[in-house]
Amino acid sequence: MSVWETSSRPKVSTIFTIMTILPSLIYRTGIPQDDCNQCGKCSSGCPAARVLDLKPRQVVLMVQRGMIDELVRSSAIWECTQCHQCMERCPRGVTPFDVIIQLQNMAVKAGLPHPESLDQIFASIARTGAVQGPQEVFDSDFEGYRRSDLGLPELTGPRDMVAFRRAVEETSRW
Amino acid sequence: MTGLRAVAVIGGGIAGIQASLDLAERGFQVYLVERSPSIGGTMALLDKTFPTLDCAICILAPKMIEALRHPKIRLLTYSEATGLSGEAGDFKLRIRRRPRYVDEGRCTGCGTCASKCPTKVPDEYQMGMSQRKAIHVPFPQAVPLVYTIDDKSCIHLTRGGCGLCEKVCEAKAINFDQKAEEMEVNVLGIVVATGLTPWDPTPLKEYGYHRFRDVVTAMELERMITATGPTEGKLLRPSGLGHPKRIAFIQCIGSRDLSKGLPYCSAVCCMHATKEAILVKEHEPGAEVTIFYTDLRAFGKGFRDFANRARDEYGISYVRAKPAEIRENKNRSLSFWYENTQTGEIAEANADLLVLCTALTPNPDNAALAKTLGLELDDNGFFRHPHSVLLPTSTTREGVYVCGYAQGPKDIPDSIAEASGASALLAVVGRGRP
Amino acid sequence: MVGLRYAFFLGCWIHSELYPLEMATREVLPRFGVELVDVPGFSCCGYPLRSMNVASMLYLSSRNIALAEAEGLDLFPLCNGCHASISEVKHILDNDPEIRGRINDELSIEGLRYRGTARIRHILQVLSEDVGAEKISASVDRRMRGFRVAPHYGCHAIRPSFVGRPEDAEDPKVLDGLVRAIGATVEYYPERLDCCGSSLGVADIEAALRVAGRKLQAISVNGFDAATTVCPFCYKMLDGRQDVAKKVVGDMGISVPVFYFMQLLGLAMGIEPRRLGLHLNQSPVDKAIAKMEAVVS
Repeated sequence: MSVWETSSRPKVSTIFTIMTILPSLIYRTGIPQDDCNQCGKCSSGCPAARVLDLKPRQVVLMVQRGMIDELVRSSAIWECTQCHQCMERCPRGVTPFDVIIQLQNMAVKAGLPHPESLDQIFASIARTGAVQGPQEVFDSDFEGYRRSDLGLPELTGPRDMVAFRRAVEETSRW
Repeated sequence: MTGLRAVAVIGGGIAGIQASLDLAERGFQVYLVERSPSIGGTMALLDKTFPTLDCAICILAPKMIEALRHPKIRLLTYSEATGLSGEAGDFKLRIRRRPRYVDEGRCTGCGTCASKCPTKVPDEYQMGMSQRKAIHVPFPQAVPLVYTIDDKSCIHLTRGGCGLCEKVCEAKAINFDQKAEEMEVNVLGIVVATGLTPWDPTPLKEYGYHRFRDVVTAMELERMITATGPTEGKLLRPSGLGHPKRIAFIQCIGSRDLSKGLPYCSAVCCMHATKEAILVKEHEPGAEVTIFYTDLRAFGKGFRDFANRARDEYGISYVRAKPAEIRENKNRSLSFWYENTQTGEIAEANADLLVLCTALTPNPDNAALAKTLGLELDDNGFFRHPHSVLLPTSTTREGVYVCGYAQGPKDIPDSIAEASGASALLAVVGRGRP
Repeated sequence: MVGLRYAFFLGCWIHSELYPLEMATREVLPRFGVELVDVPGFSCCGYPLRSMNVASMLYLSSRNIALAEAEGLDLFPLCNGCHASISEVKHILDNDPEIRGRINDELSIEGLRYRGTARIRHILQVLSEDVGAEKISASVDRRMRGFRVAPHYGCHAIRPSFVGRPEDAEDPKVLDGLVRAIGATVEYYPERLDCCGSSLGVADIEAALRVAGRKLQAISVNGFDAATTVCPFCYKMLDGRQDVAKKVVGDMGISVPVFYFMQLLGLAMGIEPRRLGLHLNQSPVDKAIAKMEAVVS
């Protein structure tokens, strides 16, 4: 019985368990957020922090304090540009980016609000192998071009779409 | 052995000097071995000390002179320990005295030689910000005040010729035939006090050190504001654009760092920055001075008051933030974004002079010295203790003690106190236990 | 070094929309002896699905590497984002036997297997290492002389350094060197490492455009004649969305010609702009091209 079915609020302890399932994927050094001394270097370089509300330092602080519920329900965790600056420069080996991604993954798994485009992208990939198929593009005279008009070859996606789909669905449930 | 009352101190900074004076006062013959041409160490290169704002060399020099003059202290400068045998109470310490090519007995310290020497090299005592001659003294108050020829850059010693210094020296003190002297002393025990070295922040490229002209380290700033420094005490931007009007300090550059630097806190940088910020304000009263810190370590006596004074009397701003990336603008000014971690505000700051308060590491030659003396180091290069709580000034070899920064990050008062502690332990070595 | 034959991986955006990048690359690289092999069966690299489940990105990147390996080729993702995610996935698989085992179990569903034999090459590496600045310089004419180009490296060419990137994270120089190799001038500018804001579009398109607008403003203020990038996301933001970005930051004076680097290289080699897809660039490249023509005519 999954915790997601019994209540709409994921239990904090369960969430911490989930956070250790894929350690080498998510954490480069175990549970690095313990090493964070809140210096703020991550927020200082974060491009999203300058235009929106996301502050990687604050995310790590809230994780340190066990405020996972608030985080997975926040819109701020979706504001990450994935530029990797925070984890590149952190002097303590903390990877705020990985923490943010893990929170995003948890929110999706728990069925909490998240950008619609994610579901659309997943559906498209599962169906065709790609985010979108070849589009018609236009020049400044509004003349349209397709790949063939530009001498570009037609390329095929996964050969066995059934197998592809199955593997994609399976790994999406890890 | 019976009646042996000699000891050795390796390292001639404030800790080594204090240990030597303490032991000499107890009647021991002290051999004070110092690798550079003069005793004094890092303290001799500071402008003022915190939290008292005493002139550093002014309070240090009397101790240096005392060490020079004390009948029981033999200064072995420009020398290194090369081997140790025996055991506590009866060590044989081998020392190599490197050739200065200047006769210590004859040199009067007049400096004529240096004024004529044609060779200029970066001056390591000015953090490389100005040049010295091949024949030099580290700083004007050097003890002993004897010139030394750097045999890596001297024309005569490397490829022959020149010899101008020999020609002009009235005391006939230059001796190019001088050789290294090997000596051995029989000592009861040793105190190691090899001090600190500032960490080079070049690996943290985001801070622009050695990429942007007006980014300096705290020790470089220290030399800049000292009267005997490369700019004779004038606070000038290295870019040549005059006096800085906005100065920013960034703390913890390489300290408390688990990725590219050192994991420990260097203990003194918060107060060092506070002191330097005050001195900067005294040099440039109209300047905007900000210290960007992670945690303000003001744990010692008078430290908190000192920081409050900096903030309230001198108008220095303390912002709990750590910039991530320094940028240089077309006009050579520097800018960076930061998050004020106390307010959550994201802002951009500009500075004419950026001071990186770098980590301070133990002497990088400790590894070689540890091998020579049969000691152990910890992962950070400090000397290891048999018990880090109960025997903090002991090393892993009985009879050999450690004090000062070589023991762990600490300031001048603690170095002095610890030197006296190590000396007290050394003083009873070989006496047997009750 | 394996011979200059690569499994050419376009990823989703270049293949479906950003045709100029593909056109310019297919036009130029073979002239330097680099063969681009179209291996059938590629899919998305999984970068956009990282937010959903990291495992999806793991699987999708792995299968593309496996497809290249099956052909005995190194993988050459043209997109910065694909290259970064695939490199990261390779790093994980090479260092974690447990994850590698689980992924190979999944890959077997499609009859694929990850072996770890393929390198993942970046366009900057192909140009600077396989081809080399000297050969490039020898192939270009004078038209780029005096042309000041702002390099926009893109976050994924410089980070995360622990998986190995073609550029240094703090002081990138490779793209600079290539711009110089074609005869143009490149200079440091303070905002050069700034993100284009692309991925921010998932959450807030206006914020993303603000980030892009600020970058364009910086390039403009620093007096460059054009900007160049090696990433399709950055290209789309700075070229395709320049008009909207201008409005968002309230600076209608911004007018920055944005070139994918292969387009600049192709131009310098005297290749006709249409063959490089330049008629499909949305930023004001025409004036820059005209300026270059004036130099050589």
